[in-house]
Amino acid sequence: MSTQPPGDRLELLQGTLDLLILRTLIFGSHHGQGIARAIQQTSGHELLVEHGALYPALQRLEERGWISAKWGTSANNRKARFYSLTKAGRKQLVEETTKWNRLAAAIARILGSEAAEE
Amino acid sequence: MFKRKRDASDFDAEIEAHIQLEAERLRAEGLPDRDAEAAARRAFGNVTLAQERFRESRSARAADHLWQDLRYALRMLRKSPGFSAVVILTMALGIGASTAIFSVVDATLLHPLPYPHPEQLVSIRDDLPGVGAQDVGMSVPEWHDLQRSGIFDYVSPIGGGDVNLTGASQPARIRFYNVAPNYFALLGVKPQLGSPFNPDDPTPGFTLEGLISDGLWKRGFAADPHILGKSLRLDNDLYRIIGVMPPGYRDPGSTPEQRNSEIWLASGFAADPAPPPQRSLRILPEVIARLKAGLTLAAAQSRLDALVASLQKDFPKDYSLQTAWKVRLVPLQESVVGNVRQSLLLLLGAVGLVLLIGCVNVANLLLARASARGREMALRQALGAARSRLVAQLLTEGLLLSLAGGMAGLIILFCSQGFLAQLVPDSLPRLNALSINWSVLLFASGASLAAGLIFGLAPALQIARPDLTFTLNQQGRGSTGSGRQARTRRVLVVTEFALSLVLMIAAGLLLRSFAGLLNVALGFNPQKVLAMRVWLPIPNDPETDIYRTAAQEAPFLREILKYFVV
Repeated sequence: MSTQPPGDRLELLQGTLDLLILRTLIFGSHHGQGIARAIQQTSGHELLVEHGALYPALQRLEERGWISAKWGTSANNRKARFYSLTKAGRKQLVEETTKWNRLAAAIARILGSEAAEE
Repeated sequence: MFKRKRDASDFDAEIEAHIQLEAERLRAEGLPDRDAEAAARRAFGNVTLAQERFRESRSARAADHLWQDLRYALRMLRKSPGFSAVVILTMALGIGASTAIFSVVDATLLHPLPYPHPEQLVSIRDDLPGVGAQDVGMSVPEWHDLQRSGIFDYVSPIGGGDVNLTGASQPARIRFYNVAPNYFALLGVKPQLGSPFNPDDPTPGFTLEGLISDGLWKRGFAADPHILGKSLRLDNDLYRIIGVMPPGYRDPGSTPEQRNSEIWLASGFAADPAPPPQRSLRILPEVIARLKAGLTLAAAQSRLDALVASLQKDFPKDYSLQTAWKVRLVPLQESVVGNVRQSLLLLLGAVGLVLLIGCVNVANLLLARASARGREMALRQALGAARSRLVAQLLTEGLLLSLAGGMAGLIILFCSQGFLAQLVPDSLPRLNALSINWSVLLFASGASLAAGLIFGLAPALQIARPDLTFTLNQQGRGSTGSGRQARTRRVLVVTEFALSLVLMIAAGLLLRSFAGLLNVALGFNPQKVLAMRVWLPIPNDPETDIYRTAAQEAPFLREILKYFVV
C-alpha cells in the first residue's frame, strides 16, 4: 500500500491536520480519501494520517464554515463527498500558514543555534 | 451561513465510500480483492470512534447526550422498581430531614429578625470591665444621652414581667412588655388595628396606653372590632387599649418569655413606679436601638466610645475610673440567636450525617448493581463507547435517583409542615414563621445534587479504571464482582459504620445527660408538697397599693390558706 512501513512515519502534531486539509484543498475539491492520499504523497510518505481521524476533522472544519461539501461522483464512478475551500477557509489558511511558518522558524532557530554550539 | 445539521447516516455513508475508494486504490496497486478491503478498514482505524467523534462534534451534543442518558436512566429505574423505591425513600428521608432542619436554621439563624432593615438594629450593653462586670444595665440619664447622641434613630429600653389582668372576659396573669413610646417606630412594625404609641410621648411614667396581642384580643375580648379606646385593668391601674398587634408578631427577645408578650406598655422610666433618674441607678436591664441609616456598626461604636469618654469626664462622681465603664453595640440578630446557634448547628450536622449515611448506603447499593452491570459497561467500552459517556450516564442515573428522592423528601416535608412547627421547641428564637421558601428549596436541590454526585461517583469511578478483558471474562461467568469492587464496597461499609457510630455516641451522650438531669437529687421528698404563688397587684402609684407591707398582706394570705386546710 505504500513505500514505507507505517511504524517509521511521523505522527501529526496536534492541530496541524486542519492546516494540512485546508492546504490540500487549495487546488480544488477533493473527497476524504483523496485528501488523505494527497497529504501522504506530498509529504513524501513521511506523515501518518489516520483515516479515521480525518473525518471528524473535516466535519469540524465544515461546521466552522471553512470548507463546504457536497456529494458527487469520483473519477472511477463512485459516490463520494467532495470538499472545497470557502472564502473564510482561504483566509484561515493564510493566517494558519503564517502562524505555522513563524512557529517552525522559531523552533528551527532554537534547534539550529544549539546545533551550532555543539 | 447556518446549514441544516448533517445526519449521522450521511457520515456513515461517507466513511463506507472512503473504505471502498481506498480498497479500490489498493486493488489498483495489486492487492488481492479480499485483502484490499481488510487493509482499507485497517488503515481507517476505529470506525465507531470516528462516528462517536462525529456525534460529539455536533453542537447539540450535550443536550442530546443528556436526553439520551435521562431516557436510559428512566428505563433502568423502571426496570428495577424495588431498587429505585429503596433508593428514593432513603434519599427522601435524608434530604427531607436535612431540609426540615435547614428551614428552622433559615428562619432562626439566617433571617432571625422579621423587621425592616434588621442590620440597623442593635442591642446596647453596658459593661464595667474594671470590676469584672458585664451587662450591668443602663441608667435613665444614659438612655437620654444616647437618644440625643445622633448615632441612633431611636433608643428604647425593653423589659417585662407578669401582671394581673382584670377587665377582660376573665382575670388572668399575663406577660407584659415594658418599652419606650418609640419602641414600635424603632422596630418599624405597625399594629393590625389602631395605632402604635406616639414615639415623642414625653410622659415620665407609664402612658397608661396599651397594645394587646392578637391572642389576647381573641381570647379575652372575643376579637371585638370596637376594642380601641376600651380600658383594662393591670394591677389595679386603668390602661386604654390603643391597638392590636398582628397575629405573628413577636418581640426580639432572647427567651420565650420575652417573645410571648400579651400586652405592650410604654413608659418614660422616670416617674412612678420607677425611682427618680440617677446615673448610678442602672434600672434598665436591656436597651435596643436602631442605628441611623448609613452608619456602620464600627463607625457607630467609635462615636459611642467618644461619647462615653466625654460623659466620664463630665460626671466624674458617677463614673469612677476604676470601673472603666464601656458601652458595647451588639447586632440585635446576634443577641437574639446567640444561645441557640451551637445547638442548631449541631442538629444540622447530625442530620447532615444521616444524609451522608444514606448516601453511602445508596452508593453501596449502586455499586452492587454496577458489578451486575459490569459486563454491559465493559462491552460498551469494547465497542468503542467513550469512557466519559459511560461515566456521564452513571452520574445521570445517580442524579436522577437523588433528585427524585429530594422531590419526595420535599413533598413529605410540605405535608408535615404543621406537625414540624409543633416539634420546634418554644425556646428557639423563632420570630419568623417557618416556611418553605426559595432558600429552603435551593438548599434541598443543592443537597440532592451533592448526594447524587456523591453516590453516582462510586460506580462511575469503577468504570474510570476499567480492566476490560478481566471484567468481560470474569463477569461472563456470572461472578459477584472483582476484588477491587469488593474493596471499594468494604471501604463504603466501614465509612457507613464509622458515621453511624459517631451519631450513636452523640445521641447516647445526650440521652445520658438527660437521664442524669432527671435523677438529680432534690434534697427533700417532693411528695405531697404543694408550692403556691400569690400575685398581689402592685399599682404604679405606691400610695394606692393596699398590700404595701407584710402586715397588709397577712389578712389576705390567711384567708387563702383557710381553703387548703383539710
